Amino acid sequence: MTSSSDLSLKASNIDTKEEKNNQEENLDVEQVKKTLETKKENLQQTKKIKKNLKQLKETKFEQIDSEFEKLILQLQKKQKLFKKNIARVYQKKFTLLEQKEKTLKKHINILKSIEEKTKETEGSNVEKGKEKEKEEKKEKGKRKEKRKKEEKKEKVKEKGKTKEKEIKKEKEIKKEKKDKNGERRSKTKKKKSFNQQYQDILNSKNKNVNLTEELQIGFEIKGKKELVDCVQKLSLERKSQKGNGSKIQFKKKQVNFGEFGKFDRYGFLIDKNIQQKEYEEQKKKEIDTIPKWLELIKQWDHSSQFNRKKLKKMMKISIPDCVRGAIWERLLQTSSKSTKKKNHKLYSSLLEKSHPDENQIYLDINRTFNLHQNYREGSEQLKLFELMKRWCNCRPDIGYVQGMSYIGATLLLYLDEQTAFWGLITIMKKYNLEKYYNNEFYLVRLRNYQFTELLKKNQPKLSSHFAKFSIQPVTYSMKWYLTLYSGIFDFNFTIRIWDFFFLEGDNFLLKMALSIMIYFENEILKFDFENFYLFFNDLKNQKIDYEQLLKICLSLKLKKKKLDQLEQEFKNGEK
Amino acid sequence: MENFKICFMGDQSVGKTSIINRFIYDDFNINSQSTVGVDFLSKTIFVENESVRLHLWDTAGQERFRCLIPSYVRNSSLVVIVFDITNKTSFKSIEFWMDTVQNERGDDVIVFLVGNKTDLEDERQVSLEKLEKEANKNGFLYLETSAKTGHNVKQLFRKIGISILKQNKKRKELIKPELDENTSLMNISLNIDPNKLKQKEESGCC
Repeated sequence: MTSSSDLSLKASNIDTKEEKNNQEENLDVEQVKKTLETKKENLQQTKKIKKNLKQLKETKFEQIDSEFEKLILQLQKKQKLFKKNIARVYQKKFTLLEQKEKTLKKHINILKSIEEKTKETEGSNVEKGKEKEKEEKKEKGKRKEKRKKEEKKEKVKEKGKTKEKEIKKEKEIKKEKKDKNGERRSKTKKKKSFNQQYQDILNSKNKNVNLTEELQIGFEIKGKKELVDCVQKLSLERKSQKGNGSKIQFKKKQVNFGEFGKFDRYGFLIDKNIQQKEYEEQKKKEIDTIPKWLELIKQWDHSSQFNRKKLKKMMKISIPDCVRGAIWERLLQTSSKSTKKKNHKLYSSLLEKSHPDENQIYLDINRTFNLHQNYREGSEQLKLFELMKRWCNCRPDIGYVQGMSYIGATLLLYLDEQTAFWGLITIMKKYNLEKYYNNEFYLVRLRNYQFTELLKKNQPKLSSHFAKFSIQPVTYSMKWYLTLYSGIFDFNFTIRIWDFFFLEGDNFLLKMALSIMIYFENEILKFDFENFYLFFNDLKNQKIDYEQLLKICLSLKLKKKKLDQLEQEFKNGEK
Repeated sequence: MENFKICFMGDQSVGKTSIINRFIYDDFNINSQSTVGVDFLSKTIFVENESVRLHLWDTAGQERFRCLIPSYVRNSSLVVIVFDITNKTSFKSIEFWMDTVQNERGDDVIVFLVGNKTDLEDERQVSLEKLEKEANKNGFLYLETSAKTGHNVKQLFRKIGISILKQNKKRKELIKPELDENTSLMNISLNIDPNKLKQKEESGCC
């Protein structure tokens, strides 16, 4: 029994214990509840704090945003002002740059053509390479500087672009200049490479001839009808092949390549009589003056005016051959004409009609500067043909007169087709050349009259000598005037006459005729009728100090009054 | 030695310059340039034991230059009218050239008709008979040549020399008193560079 009571005790003990436990548990639950509540409160509090924080953040962000907006507005205002100011400044600069770009393009074209012409430089590739490396280093430095500047001015994007273009072009020009310097240094290498190239040219030409045999048209074809057909066929073929570059060729003639078989710096087959050394020296001189000329052209384009005295002074030293085209273009003021839409339409319409003088032109094309490398090829001959045809259709009343082809040919050596055409128009009209050709060579006859009268007055010895042998200017001066002294002297000097002719007008031609007589006075006084003509028909092969001749010519001054008076006399005499 | 002026005329590119070049340099230059205005060349030939100096005036062929012909023909002893036997029109315009010559000189001048380019026989358009007819009608001399091959060129200048001398003798006989003045004008004292003279006389033909 005790055990049971014990057990019950124990049990009761346990119960109490359980009760105690329960109580304790209850206490625990409460405590937990309490803690939970506190935790909840804490949580709520934290939530509240978080909310507050969020609010705070938002408000602060708003504040910041508004401040930003204000700042941005302020900035924008400043930007606008800045832009306005910059736009003003850069609009001016932009227009300037555009002009420069144009001129630079032209120079590059010119320089490229020179590069093609003087392929000799290819022989000096190694030296070029070195120079190019140097150049690139220099140019990199320059680029960096320019980029810094550009970053500052990012907002003016257009301006940046043009500048980059300009830089590129400057680079190209510099390269080409350096190439020329290289050319000077590599004289010894040049000789070999030149011969090789010459042979290459010969080979390539022969190939072309074989390829285009079917299209060849030559002197074998006779009779007007056939000729006209040929010309039409030519122009048709030309039209259809414009995209691919025409392969049509005038018949290539078998030509004796002369003693040296080389072309001189102007592209003429080297004649033993022409002094190549002088040409080389002249080339050297010219290279040094190129920057000056480029500067002059820049100024000219900028102000659309030129300093006549300065130009003349520089011309006396001679225009570098690579700049000559650019100067002629400006003196003849062709650029404004060729860009006008009206004129462009007119220009492109001038080939459509045929002209009766076409046959004559066709006959003369093969007989004009045929010692020049350009006019041994069909494509260049075709250009000359088209130029003369355009002229005929532009002035059908005058048409083509023998001698014009020489003028066209020389123009095409320095100007592109369209510019050459407008140049020809200017020469004919503004420089009075059409009056030399027209009306039974009226102006030639007048100039001859003025020539003899002026000689009578100022050079009585010469005048009486001519009278003694009845030597009349009509028998020697025709081609002087009609071809503007083409083929009379070395080409080298002829184009210098042209330079001054473009600057001074057609009176210069009369001056030149007079100064030729003054220059050769001593010789002429020894000549009889026959020797005089033999000498003057072969002026090209006489020893002439061209500088001296030019000096005499430039020192002559013709008074307009006197010339007008003589013109009146001439007119009265004609009646 | 007497000088005689000979004037070459005819249509464009019939070969006036080429004939003269063949005669003077015995060379045919395919690169000959077109003649603008007038060119002058001279050479001495020996005919019938006499030396004759020929002054050759080579004129431009284009129609536009015909207005200048009178001033060239004015004191010529002989006129050579050249045409191209492969080109009918150049033959037809002989008449025009004759007219210009006769307007200036009447029948006072010897005329020589020359058909050039006999090397192009295949393309012939003007027969020798036609040329003969035309020449005989007017009492002109005539010949066919080829400047390219040299055919008949020496012959041409020999004939020119002979006919000039003939006419000169006739004149001397007919008008002696006037002649003295003329010859004094013609025989001009020569101050010629001896080197040049050599060059010119080197190649006398016939």
